[in-house]
Amino acid sequence: MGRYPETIMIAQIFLASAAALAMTVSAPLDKVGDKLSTVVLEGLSQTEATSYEEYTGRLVLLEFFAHW
Amino acid sequence: MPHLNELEEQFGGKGLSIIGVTSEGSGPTEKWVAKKKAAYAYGYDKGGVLARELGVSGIPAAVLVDPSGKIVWQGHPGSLSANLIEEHIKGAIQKPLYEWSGKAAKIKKAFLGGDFSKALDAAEKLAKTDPFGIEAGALLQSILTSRVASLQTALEAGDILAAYDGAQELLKGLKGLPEADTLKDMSKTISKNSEMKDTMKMQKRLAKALVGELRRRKDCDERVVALEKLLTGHEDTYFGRQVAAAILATGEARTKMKY
Repeated sequence: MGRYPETIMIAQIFLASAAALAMTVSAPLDKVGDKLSTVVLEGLSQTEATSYEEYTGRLVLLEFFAHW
Repeated sequence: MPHLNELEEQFGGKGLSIIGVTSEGSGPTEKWVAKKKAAYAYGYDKGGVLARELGVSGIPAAVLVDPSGKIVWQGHPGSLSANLIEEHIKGAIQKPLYEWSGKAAKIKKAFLGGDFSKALDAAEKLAKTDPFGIEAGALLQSILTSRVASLQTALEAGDILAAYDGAQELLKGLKGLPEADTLKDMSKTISKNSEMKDTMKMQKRLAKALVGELRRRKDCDERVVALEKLLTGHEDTYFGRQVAAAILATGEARTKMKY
């Protein structure tokens, strides 16, 4: 047995699972046509809204950003 | 993003809202917003839950959600055109819920509390003196119809737990409304069907297996092993696809971890 037998075994199980499933499940890259489920956004700023629910009935553009 | 500021200025009064979403902390975010002069709303997606759900893998990215809650476009925010917005803005309410004040605030309060009966009743009363009551009532009815339809779609697809739990939750605020009968029938159908009940039990086990934060690779590996057990014998079912998707998501989370 190697130095980290458990880790290797788990990794093998994981890789085998991922490889098998990759053939049957597509990655969730394109969600067009899907209904957006519950959205939780904390600390809403620059708006009077306190929750995403208060945008119900509006056309909403969600822009994902990072400061870098 | 000047482009987005312009879009909100142009379409905000017609029904468009722009919300910046970040999974970073408030310090760098506030500085970034000030530096970029972003004038639109923004909020924090703790742990990147929403980004993951929407399959967002690169930044910046944007998702356009129509007034019924359906995703109609996704891509780079800079490539979003005014034409596309015009195409989907029809039917959007011009006055967002957070601006509903006075008598309309009563409708908003009931709706946000999940009480459609009370909200529709308040809208009907307001409609007698203010045309906004008609708009509010129509919006509420459309949301309710859409929610019931979503639950029926979930049931047909095989997401029994979502359909059942969703129906029980929605029913709490449907006193005296015809939609209550539809949902009671749906709940009865599930309760009397042993196959659906078994699926629901498995889906509850899946929900339980997904509780807890994944902090290290070891957590991911343990979760995958638990999910693998759930998957066995269900590979060709909707439930199996739910488990498979959870395994893939766990794997994706693992690739972003150092330890």
